[in-house]
Amino acid sequence: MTLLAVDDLRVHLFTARGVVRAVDGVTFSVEPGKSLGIVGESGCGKTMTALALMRLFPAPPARIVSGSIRFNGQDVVTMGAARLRALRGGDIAMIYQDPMTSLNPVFTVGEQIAEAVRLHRRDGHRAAWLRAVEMLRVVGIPDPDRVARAYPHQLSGGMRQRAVIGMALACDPKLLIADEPTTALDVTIQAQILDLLRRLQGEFGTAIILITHDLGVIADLVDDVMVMYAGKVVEHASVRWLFADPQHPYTRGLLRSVPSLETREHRLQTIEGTVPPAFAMPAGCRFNPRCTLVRDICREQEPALLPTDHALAACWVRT
Amino acid sequence: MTTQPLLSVHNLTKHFPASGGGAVKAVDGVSFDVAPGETLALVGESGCGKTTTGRMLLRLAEPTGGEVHFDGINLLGLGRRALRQRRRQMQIVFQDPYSSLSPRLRVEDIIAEPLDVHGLCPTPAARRQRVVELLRLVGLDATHLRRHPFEFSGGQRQRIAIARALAPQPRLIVADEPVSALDVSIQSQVVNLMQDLQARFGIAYVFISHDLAVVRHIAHRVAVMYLGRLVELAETDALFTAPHHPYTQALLSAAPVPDPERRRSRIVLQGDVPNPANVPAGCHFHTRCPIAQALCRETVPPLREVHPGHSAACHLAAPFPIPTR
Repeated sequence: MTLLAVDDLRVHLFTARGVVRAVDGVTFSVEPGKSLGIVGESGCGKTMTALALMRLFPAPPARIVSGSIRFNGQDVVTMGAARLRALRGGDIAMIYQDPMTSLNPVFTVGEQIAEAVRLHRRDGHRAAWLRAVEMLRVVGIPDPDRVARAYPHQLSGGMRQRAVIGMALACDPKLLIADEPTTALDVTIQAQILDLLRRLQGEFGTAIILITHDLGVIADLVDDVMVMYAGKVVEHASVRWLFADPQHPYTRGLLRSVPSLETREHRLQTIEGTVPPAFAMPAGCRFNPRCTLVRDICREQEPALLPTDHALAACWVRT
Repeated sequence: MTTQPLLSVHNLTKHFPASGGGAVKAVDGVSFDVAPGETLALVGESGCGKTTTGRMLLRLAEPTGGEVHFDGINLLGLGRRALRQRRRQMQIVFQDPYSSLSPRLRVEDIIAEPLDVHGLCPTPAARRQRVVELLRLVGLDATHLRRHPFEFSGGQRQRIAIARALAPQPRLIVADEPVSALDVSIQSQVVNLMQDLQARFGIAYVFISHDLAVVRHIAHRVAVMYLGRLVELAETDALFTAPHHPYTQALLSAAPVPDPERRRSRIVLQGDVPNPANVPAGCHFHTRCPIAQALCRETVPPLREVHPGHSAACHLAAPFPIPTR
C-alpha cells in the first residue's frame, strides 16, 4: 500500500504584496521503505512541499488552497490538532539543515530524545532514557552513555546531526523527511552522514524524502527524484534515468552546470538568466524565459507532467 | 613558475590566545607563492585556517608570525598609510553577498567606494563613467546604478561585489567562498565571469573554497589545508589525478559525484576534525588517517616535494595508498 500520496497540492502564500504560488499543483507518492529526492534551487518550493506534508508551514501567510495529502490512508489536510500532533515526530519525522536549531541548548541530548519517546510511546522515564542511549548507539556515536548527558554545544556538527537523526528515528517513523541534512556539514562528515542514512534506511525500513540542492547527494542516496522549478514539478524519474537521460531542459541545464571532479572543461555550462520573481511568474511554462528550446506554445500554455520513455516531464518540446 | 611571484607567503602564522594559557593555532607556518595572473585555490574543511590565511594576506587579520611579500615588499613591515596604498592592488570578495554589501547604499556608491577611498576618480562624471564601465564588465548595466542591494538576487549581488573589487584595478583578488552561497546554475555564471575577468586583466586570484569541483575548474594550483597547516600543494591536474596526501585522497573521494552508478566507492574518514585548541602531536591528521604509523604520532611531517611542483606533508606520501571500498 502506498505510504504517502500527494495529489495536485497547492500551497500559496498570502502576503501584502500579493499571492505567491509557492507549491502549485504537485503530485507524487512514496511507497514504504523507498526514498524520494526533491531537488531544485532556492525558492523552487521544495521545502514548502516538505513542510506541507505535516502542515508545518507558517500559517498565515501559507495555506493549502487545494489538493490532498494522504498518509497511511489518513487525510492530513483536514486532520485535527491532536492527530496531527501524534503524526508529527511519530509516524513522520523530520530533520533539518542546521542541527543546532533543532536541538534545545538548555537540555541534554539524551533528555531531548527521551522526551520525544515519552510523548509518542508513553514509556516511563527510565525506559525512555534507555531508548535515547540506544538510539545514540544506533547512529554511531561513540560512548553514547556519556553523550546522552552532554549538551548540544559540547558536540561537533557531525555528532549533533547524528543525534538529531537518532531522535527522529527513536519512535520508529514510517517516513523520514530530511531537508538538506548534510548541507551545513564538511564533506568528510557529509560522507559519514550519507552512509549512516543509507544504513539506517536498510535497518529500519523507513521511507525517506530527501530535499537538497546538491545533485551529488541525490545520486548517492535516493531511488526516485523529483525536480522542482518555481513551484512546479518539471521532471520525475528514477535516479538512474534522471542522470542517464534527463528529459526536461531545466534538469539538463542543472546537470550540465555542475562542474565535474574528473575533467576540466574550458567553460562551465550555465543556465542563462535567473528564476523569475515570485510575484511575476511568466505565462505558460515557468522555465520558458531561460529555455533554449522554447517555442510559441511554451509562452502560452502550461505543460502538464506527462510520461516520456522512462520518466515524467512537464515540457511541450519533450513530451 | 619562472616569473617573479606576485605574492609570496612565508611561514605565515596566526595563534589566538586560548583560555588556560595555551594557543589556538589557526594558521601554523603556511608558505606559498602566487604568480601574476594565476589562480591558487586554498581548500579544506571548516576550521582548517583557509579564511584566516586569506584575511592575513591583506592584513585584515594580523599575523602573529611569518611574512607576506606582495610585489617584493613585506606587507607586515608597512605602516598604515603605506599599507592602504598597497591595498589598492589587493581586493577581497566575501562569501555572503547579503552581508558584504551595505543595505543603505546605492549600487553606484557601493562600487565607487574603493575609488573614493583611493582618490581614483576626481570628478563625479568620471566616477559615474567608471562605475557604469564596471557594471558592464560584470554583466549588469547603468539601469542598476540607483538601486539598493535588496533589489538584487544573490548572483547579481555577488556580481556587484566583484565589480567593487575590480574598481581600483587590483592585481590580486582574494575570493573567500565567492560562489558557495549561490545556486548551481548561478554559480557557474559567476565562475565563468571570474575566469573572463582574469583572462582580460591578468588578475591573480587566491580562491578559497570547500567545493572541489569548482576548484578543479577554476584553479591553476591547489593548496590543501588541514588544522592550520598545508598538507599538499600541486598543480590542479596533478592534485586531482594523483593526490599524495591521505587527507587529500579522502577529501576527493568523499565529494559526492552526480552519478548514481558510482555509489559507495569512497574512503569515509572516521571521527571528526580534532579541536584546534588541542591538536594532536606529530602529524595533525594521524587521528583520522587510515594508514598512520608510529612515526606519524610523534614527528611532524615536513612539506616535501614528491614531484617537481608537487609537495605533500606526509611521511608515507604516495599516490593512492588508500584503497577505496
